[in-house]
Amino acid sequence: MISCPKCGADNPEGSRFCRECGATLPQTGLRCPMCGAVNITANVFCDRCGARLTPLSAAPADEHEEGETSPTRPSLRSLSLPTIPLEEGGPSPAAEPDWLSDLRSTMGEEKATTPSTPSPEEAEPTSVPDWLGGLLAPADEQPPPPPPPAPAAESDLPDWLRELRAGAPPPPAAPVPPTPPLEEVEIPDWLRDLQGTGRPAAPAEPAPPSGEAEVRAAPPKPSAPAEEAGVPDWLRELQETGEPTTPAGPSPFVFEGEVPDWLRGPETAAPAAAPTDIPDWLRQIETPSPPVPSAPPPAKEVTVPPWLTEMEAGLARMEAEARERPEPTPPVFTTEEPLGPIEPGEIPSWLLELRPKEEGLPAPPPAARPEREALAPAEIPEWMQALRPTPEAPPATEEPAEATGLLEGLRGTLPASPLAERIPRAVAKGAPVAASAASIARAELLQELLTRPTTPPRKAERPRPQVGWSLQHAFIGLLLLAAVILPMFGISLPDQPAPQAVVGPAAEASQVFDQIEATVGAGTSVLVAFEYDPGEADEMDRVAEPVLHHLLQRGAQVTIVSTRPEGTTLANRLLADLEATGLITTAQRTAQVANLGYWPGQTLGVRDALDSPAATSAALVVVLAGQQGDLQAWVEQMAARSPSRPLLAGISARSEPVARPYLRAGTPLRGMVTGLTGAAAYEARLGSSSGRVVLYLRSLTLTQGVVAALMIVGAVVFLLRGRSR
Amino acid sequence: MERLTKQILPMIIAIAAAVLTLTGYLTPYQELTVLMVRWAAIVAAFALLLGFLNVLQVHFLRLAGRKQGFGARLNSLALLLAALVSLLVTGAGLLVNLDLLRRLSDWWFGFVLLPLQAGAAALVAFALALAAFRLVRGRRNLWVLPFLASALVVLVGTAPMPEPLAVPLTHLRAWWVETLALPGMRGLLIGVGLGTLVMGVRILIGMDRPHSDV
Repeated sequence: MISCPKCGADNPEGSRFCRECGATLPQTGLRCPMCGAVNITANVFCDRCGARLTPLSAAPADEHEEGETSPTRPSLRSLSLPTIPLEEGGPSPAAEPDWLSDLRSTMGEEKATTPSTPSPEEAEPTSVPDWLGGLLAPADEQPPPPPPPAPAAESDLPDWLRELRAGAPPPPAAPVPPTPPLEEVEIPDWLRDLQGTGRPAAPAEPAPPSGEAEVRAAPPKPSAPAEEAGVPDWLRELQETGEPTTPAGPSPFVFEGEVPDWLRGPETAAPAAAPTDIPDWLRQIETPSPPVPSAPPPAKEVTVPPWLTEMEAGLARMEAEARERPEPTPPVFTTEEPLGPIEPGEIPSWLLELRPKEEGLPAPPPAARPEREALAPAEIPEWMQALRPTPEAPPATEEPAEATGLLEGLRGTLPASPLAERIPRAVAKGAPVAASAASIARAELLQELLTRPTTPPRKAERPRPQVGWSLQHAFIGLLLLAAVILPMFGISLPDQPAPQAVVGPAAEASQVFDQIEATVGAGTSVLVAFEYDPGEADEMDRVAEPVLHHLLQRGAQVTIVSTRPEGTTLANRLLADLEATGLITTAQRTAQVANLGYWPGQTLGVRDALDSPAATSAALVVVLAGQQGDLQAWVEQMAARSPSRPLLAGISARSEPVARPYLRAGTPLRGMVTGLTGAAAYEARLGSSSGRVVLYLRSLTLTQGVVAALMIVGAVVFLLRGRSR
Repeated sequence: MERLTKQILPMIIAIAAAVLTLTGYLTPYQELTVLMVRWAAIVAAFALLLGFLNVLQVHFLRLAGRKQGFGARLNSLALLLAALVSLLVTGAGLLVNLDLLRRLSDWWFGFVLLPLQAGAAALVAFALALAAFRLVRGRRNLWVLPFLASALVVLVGTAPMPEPLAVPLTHLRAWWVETLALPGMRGLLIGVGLGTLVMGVRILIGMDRPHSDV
């Protein structure tokens, strides 16, 4: 029951809140070391995760050999001695030493001769080491402990306990002298629980002449059945005999330097026993030595390995057996090399609790530390003294806690201010080097720059368009628009007849006309290349129109090619226009015109087109080129492949300067129709026109006049304006 | 490996193609040259197709991206729509021999494509007229006078003039062009020819690699 600390009401075990007042109750159960759950104190395994709550200590009563349980049997829940892990069912013969085999066989024989009527109390002590029985003895006066928790499994027993249980009744030995009860400070908690069994205190008897390991584990001789829970059978039998034990001298096996003096205690003068069952290897290392003095010098603290502890238990039993056969001069078992001191971490806690604190026992002398030579204070030069920071440290500010990220909730992990700001400023106590005037000036300049307010960079302002500029654009645009549109409404310069000039576009157009008249006849194959795009179609269509009309009029077989994707389409449109205006008939178009389409590759297309059968059979090649590069490609390819075949060209006005050198350089180019002026001259020679060329020429003439006037006006205005400035 | 695929291998192909083509010109055996030229024509056709697809890709990315402004994206959208419509209309007109599709293709060409390009060319004429008007404003030295005089002579000499002025202006224009402009243009052509020759030699020996990006 858990008593409420607030109202005092009793609550069942395991309650967390008081059922009377609701206050939080103290948790009195066992906390699972694995999951942290609180279990009632009677639990051996955790209710939540099944982990063991108490360490392995003794065999459960129900799994004991006799299969009997004792409600008053004390439980050892807080002790777990180190053991050598053995296989299930006992040690293997290979791993078992000879002396232990002999001991096992001897104990088995004795077990066979021992009456097999063990009482419940006889079965219990087998789970407790005999040296621990001595500790249990003084606890007889305490009331019986609560019933033990759930029994442990057989496999949970320590090996050495299992071996002891297998060896069952020990042989009768000398009576065990009573051991004075331990003081309260020496008894650990678990032993204090054992004392709660209420066993009466047994009279103290002298300790039996046993091994060092049995010094404190010697059980008291007289005891009630309930008091002998931790006493082995063979010891109980000895107690029942009541034979006084006579010290037989020092112990036959004395391990010098192995057992600390606090464990050796007053029993160091125990009589030695004849090692009759000592194994061979032990007998070999025995050396005859004088008895160990009763007051040995302070022994060094040594580490007791598990195997040695187990061996000590076995030797203790053999020593008890040897009491019956006293030896006059027991050998002294000494180690050749003293073991090193025990490190503090090597002593288990339970063993530290058992460490006596009597004043009589000599305490191990503190390790003398070699004195170190004190460091001599360094001499700090004056200039370094000047750089020493002042003791005025900035007030410690509480570091803010991180609000986000992985460090959320942590405080002081990241500095709140840069480390550079935390360095205490040094007080200038006489600077070693005086600043020069230049340095001071530079520092002042830097300070001024740092303190100067920063101004954002100015955006590059786009200059506003001037009113005159906009007016100029509008004026020029309106003039050009008027020059183009007015001729459509009949407003233009007076028409001028085509000059009969011997130079210029008109003369060159006449050359083309004459060449066609001389070369092309009915059925003459002519290759016509349309090499201009829609942007140049307004001008080039007017140039191509009279030439194509003339060819078809002469009855030529026209083959159309183009190295521009739009060329063939423009050719079809032009033929359709000629057909629509009545310059050619539909029969002429279908019978005399063949469109071979697009020839990719520009110059390569020109070459490939010239190599086509239609081109090879052509008596004349006519190129309608909007740009100078197109005419250049055709002239060069024609000059390379068939220089004797005449080439005629219809070009835009802007290509005239580039085309004219080819016309005068003896290339296949025999003539060209240049722009609207050349087209108008050609139409004049041809004698038939759709009227479009004349209309376009009127607009062109007016526009050219406007542009020329603008150039003159602009030159005069800006020259005068600049002079006035 | 990257150097092999992007530098060495294209250079080997280019030099080999050039050598094989030149071999046909320098020897009586021109079949190889013809073959190479035909291959070049096929490659050029594929290059045109790749160029068309590249234009579509670039403007599609501009339209889908966020870097360009509204005007640029609108321009890309118009280009994509025009390209797709042109492709569908003209392609259908070429593939299917239907009079309706042919008329639709002609209408698209004559009333959309052709006016747009003619308008763009007219803008060039307007810009030239504006530059002619402001010729003296930007550069005021003696070299402006020959430029101004050449423009005036060609413009006035090309247009049909009344009879008293027609013959002298025509002769003046012809002399101006053939005496002053023609040598300059020939010099430019010779320079272009020499540059082309040098460039061809550099490509032939691998000094210039316009066909590779590294």
